[in-house]
Amino acid sequence: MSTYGARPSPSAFSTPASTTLFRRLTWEGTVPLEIRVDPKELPANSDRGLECYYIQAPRVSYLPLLVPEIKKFLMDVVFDEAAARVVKEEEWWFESEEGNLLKWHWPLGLIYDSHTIAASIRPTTSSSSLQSVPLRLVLHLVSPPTEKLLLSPSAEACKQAFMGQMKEADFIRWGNTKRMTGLRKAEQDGLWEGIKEHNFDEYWRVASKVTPTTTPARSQSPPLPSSTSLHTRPPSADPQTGNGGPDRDGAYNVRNIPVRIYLPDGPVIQDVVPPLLDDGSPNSLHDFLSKNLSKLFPASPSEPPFHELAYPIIQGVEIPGDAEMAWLGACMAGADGWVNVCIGIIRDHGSRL
Amino acid sequence: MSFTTLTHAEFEEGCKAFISKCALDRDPISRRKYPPGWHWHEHTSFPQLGYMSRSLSIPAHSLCEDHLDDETDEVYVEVPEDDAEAPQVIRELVTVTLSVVYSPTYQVPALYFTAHHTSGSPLTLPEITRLPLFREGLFPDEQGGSFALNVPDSSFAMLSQGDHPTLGTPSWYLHPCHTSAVSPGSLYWVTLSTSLHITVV
Repeated sequence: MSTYGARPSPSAFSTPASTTLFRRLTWEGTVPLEIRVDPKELPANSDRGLECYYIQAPRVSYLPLLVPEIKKFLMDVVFDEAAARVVKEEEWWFESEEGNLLKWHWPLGLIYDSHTIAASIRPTTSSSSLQSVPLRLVLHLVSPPTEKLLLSPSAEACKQAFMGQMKEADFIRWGNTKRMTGLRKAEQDGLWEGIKEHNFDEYWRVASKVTPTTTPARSQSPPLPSSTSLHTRPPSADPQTGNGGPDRDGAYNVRNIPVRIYLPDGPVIQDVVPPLLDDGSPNSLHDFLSKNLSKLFPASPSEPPFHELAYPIIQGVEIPGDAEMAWLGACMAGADGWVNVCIGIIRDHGSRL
Repeated sequence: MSFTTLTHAEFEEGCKAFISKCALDRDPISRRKYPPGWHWHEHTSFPQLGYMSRSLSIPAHSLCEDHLDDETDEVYVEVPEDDAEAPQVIRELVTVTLSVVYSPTYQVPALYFTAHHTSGSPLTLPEITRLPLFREGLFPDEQGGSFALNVPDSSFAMLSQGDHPTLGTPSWYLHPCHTSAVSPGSLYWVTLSTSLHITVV
């Protein structure tokens, strides 16, 4: 999976068109969800048998954003009038089939991928069942477990959590949050509106001002087609640029890349991830994983255990070890700016996703 | 926003030095600075997730019986040691668990905490702002609803919810830019060794 020795230069694979392509693929990714109301909590006179709601939800969205849609379905199809009057969505909470409380501030793609990798270590999971199965969720209508959930989520709380993550990502990249705070309020709101409406252009109109670019420094670039112009920023157009260097916002000029690692049974690991290693070569996914999970990802094939033990998933896709962290940070981060790497464990018979 | 940063190893060293100071027998004034009850917790597989924490019961809010210490100018909160001498006003006690963890983003210590009524229900954001944990008058009139508390001059919410970095459980999180906000004047005020940049209760 990994290559050793000479690494391809960053500019070889990073044209504006490919950046846009990967950003669009990431944005358009969806996960299948099957949401079922806890039968014990279905109000009397509900239309049982119909209380299961299927949705192919965007990876970049969040559980609280699905609530209006789910509520409409339940009101239209399942609840009778009496029940509909008393429904209180601020008390709703979600649980996985295995009884794990779902985190409403995690993007849906992360919830799905972390469920996938958790399944990779369960003895009862067969390899075929890991293929794109709907994530089965139980929706509870009352009594949120407050000791585990703190306070109930609302779309507004979710938005604030999202903005917090964007600012933190901004800080990790540049050592300050000037790009985020330099946005007008309407623009900051536009990021969240883009997610709510699932509108790629609306989101990236603003995100392009804060996300690192991948265009290598070129003094005479050919004119770019308009669909990709959002994803490269001409050096002179950036009002915040002091010295106006062409790659000031380049993915390889960030201080560090916002990345978190998720393991099948926790915890969440965050480390400093520079775009380049000490020897000047790009920091690859394999370099990063062998530094943080040396037993699962030995640095060299000549070290034990001599065969693969684990695999990294980003946005639902197994990523090759020679992918560069800087590129991942610019092209495959979630909408909140973070690259979430989920680690699956390879079963004895070698099967994985 | 600028910080002097630490490595996790330095953070761990500072915490352990602090905890060992707490373990020494001390006069009551020093015990205010180095209270017992702080423990270091290691993660079984990941040393960079070690942190220190302490659980305590504190009154839900300060009352006027709390008085200023003339010498140190600190306000301290009386906690009755003997029930027979309990003050006339029974104050509800709240269970607070404080965790000083290492923030990999800012590379400084950060404070995470939970606060629950004895019934088990978590405190709301307004109730949290009234805890003697924080300097009085610190929080502006609430801005930000029930999830987070924003302050005008900072791009980061002062108090917000987040997952405890090691335990993964939901906690309140005091943003590192604001750690000097934690009340310097309560019975529970603690100054950590100089290698740390946070003063916590």
